[in-house]
Amino acid sequence: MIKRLFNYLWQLPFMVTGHLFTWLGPVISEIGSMSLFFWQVIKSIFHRPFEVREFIIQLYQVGVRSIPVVLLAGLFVGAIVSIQFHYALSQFGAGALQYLGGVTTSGLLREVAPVLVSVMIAARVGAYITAELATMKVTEQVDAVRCLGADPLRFLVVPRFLAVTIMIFILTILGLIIATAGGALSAYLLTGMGISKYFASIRSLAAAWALFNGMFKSLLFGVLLSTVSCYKGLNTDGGSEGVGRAVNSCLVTSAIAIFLADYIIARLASLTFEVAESFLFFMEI
Amino acid sequence: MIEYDNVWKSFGDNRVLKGISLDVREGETFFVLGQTGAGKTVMVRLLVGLLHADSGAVRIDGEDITGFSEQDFQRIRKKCGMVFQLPTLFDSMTVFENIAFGLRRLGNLSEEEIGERVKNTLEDVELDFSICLRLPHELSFGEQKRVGLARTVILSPRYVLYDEPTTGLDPFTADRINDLVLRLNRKMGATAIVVSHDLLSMNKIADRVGLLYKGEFRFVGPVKDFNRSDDPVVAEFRGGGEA
Repeated sequence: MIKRLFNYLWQLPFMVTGHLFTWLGPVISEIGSMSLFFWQVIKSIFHRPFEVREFIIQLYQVGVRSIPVVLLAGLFVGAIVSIQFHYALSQFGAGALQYLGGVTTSGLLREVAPVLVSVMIAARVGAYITAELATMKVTEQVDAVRCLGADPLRFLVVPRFLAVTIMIFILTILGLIIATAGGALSAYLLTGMGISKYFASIRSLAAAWALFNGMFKSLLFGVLLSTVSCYKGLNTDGGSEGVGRAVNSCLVTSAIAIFLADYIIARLASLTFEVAESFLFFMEI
Repeated sequence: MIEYDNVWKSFGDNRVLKGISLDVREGETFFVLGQTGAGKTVMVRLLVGLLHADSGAVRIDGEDITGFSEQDFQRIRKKCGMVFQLPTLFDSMTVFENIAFGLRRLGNLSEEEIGERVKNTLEDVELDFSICLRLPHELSFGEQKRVGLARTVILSPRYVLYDEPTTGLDPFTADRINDLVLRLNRKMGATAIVVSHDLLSMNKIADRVGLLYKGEFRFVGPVKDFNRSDDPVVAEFRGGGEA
């Protein structure tokens, strides 16, 4: 009994390592394939002809049709963040509440707006693009595109890739504006804080860096989402079951990619600040 | 001329084509028969670069296309049109846009010329011009098949590859498709390879026939010889649906 337990414990690290590599192998291979796919898409953007009509259709599909849901969610999320910060700031006394607008908007700018809009677009548009391309793949429409003299990357992927990337950026700005309005409205209803006072606080606390940070994130998340959704769609096989699997995989992969990228950016930003502060400290000495 | 020279193709452990050799003559309609999974579709997909042979040579007009890149196949696809088993119409496009798709890629025709050619091709496949603004899902399966056929033949390819053109159709519609294939091939002077297991179609449109059996050609010859052959495999296949 003890010998078997010892044997098991001795083998455990090897088994764990083996399972880890079995799991990691396909993941690394998938990341590599997706990176190559991304590079091919970037190269295809600069090749003629550019599919203007398809691009405009995709802008409408991705952007215009997503506006209501982004506005609605943005309004409530802004209000919720304002309520939460109101509760947190009120612990530090009534004076701290004057910073409510700045703190709320800073949080919205840096994190909430880009992540929220990207995740919402992933659920609405990413899934749609994957399902559409996957269906085209399994019903041989992608083969037909090739046989009729068009490149599936240029005809199908590039318009979707650009539309998603551009529209996430625009929708983030739109979501941010409405979320700020939602936060101000909520602050007015909660504390009776004047709108002008709320916005004055934004000017003093929400720095341009936060705006740059948020906009950069929305662009990056757009690139990630469009790459994942198009890649998953075009690499589908196995009929209707395969389409379901591709959509599921697109949603999971997109969400993981967005949160992981968000963490890496946050960590890099904080490291940059630490280095800058140290540099300034030594300069003063 | 299309030539297959000792062509092998496998998917994993499954050897689909085991060294097939075949010459398809200029202007003829060659009919490839075989059971499901015999490798008929694989054979025609090799010609347009949707699949690549493991070994051997596939030649079109004497040019070996086996090692061609995607870029090289763009040139081959201009002279080799393919009609797929499913209509493969683009769901988001109207009938007109579907048929004009290939022409617009050529980039050398005005919209008026494209419109005129779409109209003529619709007449060729016996469809009314009024369906132009409809979306594919608003058409019957038979109409979708004819639009798919129109989309390919509008480019006037020298070689037309038909993958199961009558599958899923009722006998009446299938017969109309057979008539269309026959008439369009004659009109274009095209060389055609038709992949099917429909013996009625074979008897109507084929000049020569090849029976793929277990990855090899069991029979290659004129239709009348196929119908008289006493090869047990040919006889068994024929017994399933003699015309």
